[in-house]
This record gives sequence, structure tokens and C-alpha cells, in this order.
Amino acid sequence: MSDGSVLDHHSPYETPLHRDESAIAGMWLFLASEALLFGGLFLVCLVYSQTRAAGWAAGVRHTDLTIGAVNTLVLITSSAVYTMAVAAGQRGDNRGVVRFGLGAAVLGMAFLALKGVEWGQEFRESLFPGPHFALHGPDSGGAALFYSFYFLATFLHGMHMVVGIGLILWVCRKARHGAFGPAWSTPVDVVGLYWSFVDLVWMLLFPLLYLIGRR
Amino acid sequence: MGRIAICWGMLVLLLAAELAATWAGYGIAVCVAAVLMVLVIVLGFMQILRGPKLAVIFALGGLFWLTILLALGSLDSFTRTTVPVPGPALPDRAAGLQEGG
Repeated sequence: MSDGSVLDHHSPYETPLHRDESAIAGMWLFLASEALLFGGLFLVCLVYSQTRAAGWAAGVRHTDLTIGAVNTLVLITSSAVYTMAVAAGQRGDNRGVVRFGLGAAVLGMAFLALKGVEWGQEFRESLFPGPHFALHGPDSGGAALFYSFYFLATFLHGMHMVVGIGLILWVCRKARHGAFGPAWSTPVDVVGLYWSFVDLVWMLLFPLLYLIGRR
Repeated sequence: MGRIAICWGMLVLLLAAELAATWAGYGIAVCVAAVLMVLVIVLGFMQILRGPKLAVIFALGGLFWLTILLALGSLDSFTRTTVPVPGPALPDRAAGLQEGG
């Protein structure tokens, strides 16, 4: 990643290693704050899936498990492919960074496209909470709560995906100009942490939105 | 490359286990598989143990505050009990309003 040589005395870092480790630690600090952002959503799910269990489960049963499972597989693969870009960056293989980075970005876009198809189906079926909400009966309140959670959580996750794809494309652009070498590939590593975190959040959202309460 | 392929394979197997557990109706098994998937990502893809010590401290700090958030936030709804009020049932408020006016 970097050597231990001394940097310019005007730099706030003692060595290149210190600079790179600060960047990595800074991203982990940001991800810790992101965990608390999504933690609020998970808390909503934890509480209402217990207090409004029947309606919540009715909502879970209406989600499209096939699209959810395929999207999970796509995101797992995207994260693995980008981790290959991180390994290529550490070897100084800029062409590898571009190749694997673009692969991960395309898979990320496929995830968003499938999510768009799913949202389209749900809007057509009037599953967006409101006066025309499709589910009726004594559990409709709980189901509407579930779909409020569903749309907010998937929107927030989707926004993180869009940012992640933008960051990957930025890394690919830098790599195309030969920016990375065995001594410095920190941006590739830092973006990899963010992309894996987005994957990690989906690994928790998928069971909450599609699996728990389905049977 | 081998490490990444192994992690990917583990994640795919855990996804299959989640789907099987859902089909069998084992909600707890789904939760366990989800937590294992998170661990595979954090240890295999994000390689937290190879990162600087400060990163580990930040990650553990985030986990600690997340636990506080979820535990304190859900405490009321998981511990509140509904106790029935003894004595005769209360009069129907809607019926009373109709009679009154």
C-alpha cells in the first residue's frame, strides 16, 4: 500500500503509511456513523414487526422474493468483483482496477434497474401507503407501516448505491490515467470499504423485507 | 483471488441457507445466516483485521452505539404488558354520545 518514508514537513502526516492509515480509519469512522443512520431504520423494523406482527408479516408476504433474492446475489457478486479491483490496485495493476471496477459498477446498476422494476410493480399494485393502499382489513395499518419502512429503506439504500457507483467510476477514471501503483492505491481501498458497507446493509435489509414473517 | 472466491462462495451458500430457512419457517436461522453474512463481508471483503488499529476501534465503537440504540429503543415495546382493568366493562363511548345529542 505505501512505504514508511518521511513526507514533506508541511504535511500533517509523519509518513505515507500514516497518511494512508488515516484515510482508512476515517472511512471506518464515517461507516460507523452510517451504521447509526441505518440503525434507526432497523429499530423501527424491530419494534413494529413485534407490536404490529400480523400486518407487518402481511407486508413481507407481498414483496417479490425472486427479485429480492436475485438482487442479493447481484450485490454479493458486485462486492466480490470490486474487492478484486482493490487487490489489483494494491498490485499496481491499473487496467485490473478499471476492468473490475467497471464490472462492479455495471452489477450495481443492474441491482438498481431490478429495484426499479420491483418498485414499478408495487406502485401499479397500489402498495405505496396512502388513501388508495391495496391491502385492507384489520391488519392493513401494520402492512402500511411495513411498506413505509420498505420504501424508505430501499430508497435510502438505493441512494447509497448511486453514490457508490459514482465513486467507483471516479476510481476507474483515475486508474485509466495510471494513478495507482504498489506504493499508493488508498482511494481504491477506501471506496471498496464503502461499497462493501452498502452490500452489508443489504444483507440485513433483505431478510427484514423479504424473509422474516413470510411463513 | 482465492480468498475473494471463498468469501463469495460462502455468501452464496448463506443466501441459499436463508432461503431454505424461510421456506422451512425458521426465522431464527434466517437471522443467524444474515449475521454470518455480515461477518464474512467485514472480515473477508473489508478485511478489518488487516486495517489500522484505529479502524477497529471505530468499528467496535459503531457497533457499541448501535447496540445501545437498538436495546434502549426497543426496551419499552418488548417489556410493556397490557393489564386488563378489573370490574365492569366501560360504557360504549360512541353510544353515549348518540344518546346525549
